[in-house]
Amino acid sequence: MKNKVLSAMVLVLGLSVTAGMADARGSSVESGREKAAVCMGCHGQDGNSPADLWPKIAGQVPEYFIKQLLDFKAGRRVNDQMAPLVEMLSEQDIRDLAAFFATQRASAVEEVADRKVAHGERIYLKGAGRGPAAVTACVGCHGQRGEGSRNWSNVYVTPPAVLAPAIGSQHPSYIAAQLRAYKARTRKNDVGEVMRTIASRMSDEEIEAVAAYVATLRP
Amino acid sequence: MHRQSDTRTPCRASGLARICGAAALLTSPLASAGETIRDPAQGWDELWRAVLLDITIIGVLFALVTAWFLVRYRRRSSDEEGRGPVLSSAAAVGWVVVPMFVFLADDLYIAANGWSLWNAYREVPADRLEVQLEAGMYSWDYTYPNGVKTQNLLVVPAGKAVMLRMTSRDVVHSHFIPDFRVKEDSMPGRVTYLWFLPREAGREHVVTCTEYCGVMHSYMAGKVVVKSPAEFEAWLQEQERLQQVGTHAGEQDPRVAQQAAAGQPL
Repeated sequence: MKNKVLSAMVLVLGLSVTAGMADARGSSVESGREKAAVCMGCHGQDGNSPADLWPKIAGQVPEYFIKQLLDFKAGRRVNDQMAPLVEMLSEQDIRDLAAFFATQRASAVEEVADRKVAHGERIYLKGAGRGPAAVTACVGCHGQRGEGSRNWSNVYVTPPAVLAPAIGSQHPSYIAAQLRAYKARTRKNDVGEVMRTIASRMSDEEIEAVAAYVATLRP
Repeated sequence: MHRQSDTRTPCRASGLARICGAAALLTSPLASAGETIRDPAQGWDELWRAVLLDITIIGVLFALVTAWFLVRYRRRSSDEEGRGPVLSSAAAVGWVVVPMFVFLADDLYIAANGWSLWNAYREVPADRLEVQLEAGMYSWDYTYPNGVKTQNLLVVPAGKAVMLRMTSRDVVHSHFIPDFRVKEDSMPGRVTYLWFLPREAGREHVVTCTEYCGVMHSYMAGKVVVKSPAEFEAWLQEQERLQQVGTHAGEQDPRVAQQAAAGQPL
């Protein structure tokens, strides 16, 4: 009994700490621009990575950006390249970087597998499957232009725990890799297992199709 | 077929004509473009207040009578035996029938007002802005007549009735705009509608989902933003330009489009 109470308290405390950390207030775009030098090697001058090995981070939802970097730092999201780099950043640095990259815009993807786009569009806008195996339509959270969502039309004073990142114009191979990682449960830092649940219901073909369609969206 | 002929009083033919007449006063008319819009929104409030007043009076009255009975007919000594009241047949029948009709009359009066308001609500003004809504986990996706799409944001002109033709791409949701006193479910495979009358430009109204639809149900919210007619037109044109409407045509739900084309409110 005592243990249960204790673990519940730890859980509540843990949740409140993480909720507090993904706060984008008190950040500076200008100092973010200066600090971004270290990111630019892979993610590009303006957050648009030249190679699809690395994701575009231009125009990312700041709260989501902060959460990912803190997750790399805490080991909740595992990536051998990012972990040592994020280690050097303070929480203020991370907030500033989030503010800077949020002001940039994702560049258009030039090569998209056309034959997959229509299938991907159907899944993105309407979802797929029925019943317990249904794949929720992506548009509900990631937006009509893949711009992501942080607070549903500013109805909420503080953004919810579940954030939808901007994914429009992302490298298709990166989107597909993340969906596969969620499906294989090698990436598990999504709140409420929202993406793990959805990705686990998607076939490889559907993942490829959605990734192709997402690349055509312009946030 | 055409239900929007506005001069028709929904309850003219009914035997409750006088009561309906009283209820018609509850709808607040707004004249526009040759027709009078009977907006039931205020009527719902007045009905709500009437119900509250009613149940408060009845509740207090019954509590007082009960308390008085408790004192009046209490046992005065430990071996006292009670005996039933002796009433004449006329008194017994009177005590049942008269209160019954008093309360029934009151209930029916309120219910008739409710029906009348509901009938007024079913008469969608002919001069209206129609917007299509697709609800889904976890967003409200609106499509304007010119193809402009918005998400979680419904921009409307002041002084014109706005009708939503709604459906859902996954599960049952319910589109609730508390400020306009309208709430209606949106369902997969079915088209439902609601309408409301935004009056004041510059105001914002919260939209929220009121049918549990999944883990993020409580985050499924949006806004109605009311602009002046001129500002609304400018906004719509601007969006049309920005979204390059026409390149994305043909995404509307065919059933919704069909009904809209036929001009059916149902």
